[in-house]
Amino acid sequence: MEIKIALAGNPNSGKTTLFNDLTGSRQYVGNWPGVTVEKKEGKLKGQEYKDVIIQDLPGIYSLSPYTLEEVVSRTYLVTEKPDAIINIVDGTNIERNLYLTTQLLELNIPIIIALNMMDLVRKNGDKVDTKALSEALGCEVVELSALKSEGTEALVKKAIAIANANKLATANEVISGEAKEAIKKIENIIKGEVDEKFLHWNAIKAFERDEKVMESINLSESKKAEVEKVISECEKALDDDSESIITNERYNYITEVTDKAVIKGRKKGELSASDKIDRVVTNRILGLPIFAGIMFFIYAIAMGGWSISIGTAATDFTNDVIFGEWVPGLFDVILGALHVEEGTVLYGLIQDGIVAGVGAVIGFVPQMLVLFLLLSILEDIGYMARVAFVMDRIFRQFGLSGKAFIPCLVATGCGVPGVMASRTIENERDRRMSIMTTTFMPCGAKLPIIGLIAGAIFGGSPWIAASAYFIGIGSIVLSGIILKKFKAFAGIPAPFVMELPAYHVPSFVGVLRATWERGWSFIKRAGSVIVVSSVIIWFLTAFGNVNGHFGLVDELFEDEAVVTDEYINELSAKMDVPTTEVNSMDASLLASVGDAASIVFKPLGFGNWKPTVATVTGLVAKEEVVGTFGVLYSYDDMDGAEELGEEGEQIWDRVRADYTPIAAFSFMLFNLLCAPCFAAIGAIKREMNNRKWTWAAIGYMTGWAYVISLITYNLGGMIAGEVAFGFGTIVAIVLVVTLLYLIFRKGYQPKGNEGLEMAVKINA
Amino acid sequence: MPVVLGHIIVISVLCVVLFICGKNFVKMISSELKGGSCCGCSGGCSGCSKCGTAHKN
Repeated sequence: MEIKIALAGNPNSGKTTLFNDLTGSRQYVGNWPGVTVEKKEGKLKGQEYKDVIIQDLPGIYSLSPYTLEEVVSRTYLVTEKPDAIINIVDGTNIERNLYLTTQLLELNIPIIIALNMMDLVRKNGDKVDTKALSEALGCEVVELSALKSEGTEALVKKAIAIANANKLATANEVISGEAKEAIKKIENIIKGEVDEKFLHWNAIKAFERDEKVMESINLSESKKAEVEKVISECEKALDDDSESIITNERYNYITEVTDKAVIKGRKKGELSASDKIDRVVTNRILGLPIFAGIMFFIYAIAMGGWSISIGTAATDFTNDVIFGEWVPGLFDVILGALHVEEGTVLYGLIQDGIVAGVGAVIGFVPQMLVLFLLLSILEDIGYMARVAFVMDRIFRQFGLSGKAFIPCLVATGCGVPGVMASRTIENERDRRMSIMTTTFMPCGAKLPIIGLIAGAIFGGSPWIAASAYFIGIGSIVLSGIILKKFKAFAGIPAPFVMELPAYHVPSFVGVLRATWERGWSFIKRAGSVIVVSSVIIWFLTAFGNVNGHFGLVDELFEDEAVVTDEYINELSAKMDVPTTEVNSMDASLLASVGDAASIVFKPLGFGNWKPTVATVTGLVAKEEVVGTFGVLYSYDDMDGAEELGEEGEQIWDRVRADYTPIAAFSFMLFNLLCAPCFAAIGAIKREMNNRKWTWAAIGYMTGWAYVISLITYNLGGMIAGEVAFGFGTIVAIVLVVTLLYLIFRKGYQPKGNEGLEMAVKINA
Repeated sequence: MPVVLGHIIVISVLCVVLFICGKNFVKMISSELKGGSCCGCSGGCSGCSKCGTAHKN
């Protein structure tokens, strides 16, 4: 017979680690809320347990109805009625964790306490008497170290035993005195209207005036009035509101329990090592500079041009040697052995299309791996949780909540989970705003674009790579300020309460695994999206209409009867290149299409068909921007003498020749800030659940990218002496003035409680 | 080896590779646009090994 066991506990208590251990699934364990927003289910490992289902519930602090996670969890517990609950309690933070335990005990479901992180408890010098704790709570308590898989077997056996025996907890009642009497009266009133199993729980919720429970009970008006009378009398007697009364009763009970069972090693008021570190890194003045310094250092190691920039060194080797010499050389030998000669269509497709396109993207994997490794280390030691706290202080100055920064931190890996992490934001307006701005953060797929511009154009300057990160944050902050002034987004920012987990030494295996999984998913994506895109782009650049003749552009360009001087002049004027630089690719199908669209990007400094095509292909996958460049520039036979495969750096030399620094920076900015890839657009569509808002998000991001790039190119270029004063400069100045107005204007002011309303969308 | 045979081998391998990659490409793009390809884990989407084992979308 199937047994259902629910895992319930606070966020960061180790539920997901235990879930992975029990079911064998590999899940990412992060330190921020929003990592496990949905319920997860799995079968218990082991042949003897094949009918045991484990349900991992979202991390919650209580069974109140205020957050989506809490509603999802309690709805599951009350409607699905699992056979047992494993309540994971973080042993290093027992008092806070037991608050949820007191509520789970009221559900009349067999429960067992898994006291986790006992290794850390002992390390802190604290002691927990599990026998005394078990007696006080009236249920089994098992010591556990989920990370080290210690105690799991005993926990599983006992959980199954209590489920089979339907063994309920026999605790002293949590609520006592006047409140207990009031709840007994309410039980008598609502008896018959609710499931007998949950009578006590429903009575407590009714006492707390829980709206969702009252809706589900559906009492008659007279019974509602009776309940309200009981509550009011108790409130008057205890001189407090009903919710506070219950909360006080729970904490009084918890104090009694911990006095019996917990002995603290540290004196009250004494700071832990984590507390001492936090005094510095979350300091009001030092917090932000420390964060900026750490991120700059990380980007410098991953993508800079210094001696410590191991990411860049590895990428240079990959680009110049592996994909510059070895891989093209290997394919040369294989194709030669199979009689596919250089200069043939097949040879061109494989070498100039697939190898060049895929190689250009894969070449940046080392930089990506180094960056992900360093970010994973920061995350694992617990520092990234502090970043959200530090950013909250700054965000709040501008009417935003630090909670909006958590999706941004997630988005540095991939924009899709970043967009989905916006579910943790209860306020619908703030949530929409977060969805619209999260993908301003440079994700893993955008790293090759940053690497390309920083490496090819700016000589590996770490400032360019780091600037991409901070421009992303700046865009989010400025967008937040501007959007908050509109009625659709106005309101007081939601309060931000967050747990800061203790710092700990990163798990070597965990960090390496997280890094490898991110890198491998990138490589697998390159194996499908980039290969197909590279072939399509190669085809469109290989064929074209040359002076009325359709065919392979290379062959047609060798025919002097076709390529007349008049045609060259005409093509030179059309493509806006000197006649001496016109080549066969300028006559290709892709060049024609790209050229027609490139006019849109002329004000941004890269109004040429190649970057236009690259930007459009970036919608499929952002890394495809670099893949496209790889195909276009490897196939770009500038003088007819240079050949692909001799030295890979020639590709980037060609890129450098085509762009001024400011145009290249403008191109990078546009591609970092504009509409994200299809995957992220799909996530936005799902999270917005509204076509109008989805298009608004895409339109806003693209518009913002266009404005920022235009200002950067025209004003930045004028300051750098690369761009002359002209119409573009005037437009840029007007845009700057408009932005300043939008930032500093008063905007819509919400009236009354409008700013405080919290919309909770229930998907359960 | 005859030239034609060499070409046939290369074209055949290319067709198989493009078919597999193309199938994944179409599946991924259509799934992404429907908004259902990612489980939300931070390991990265569109091919992340975790998504296949932990979730059904």
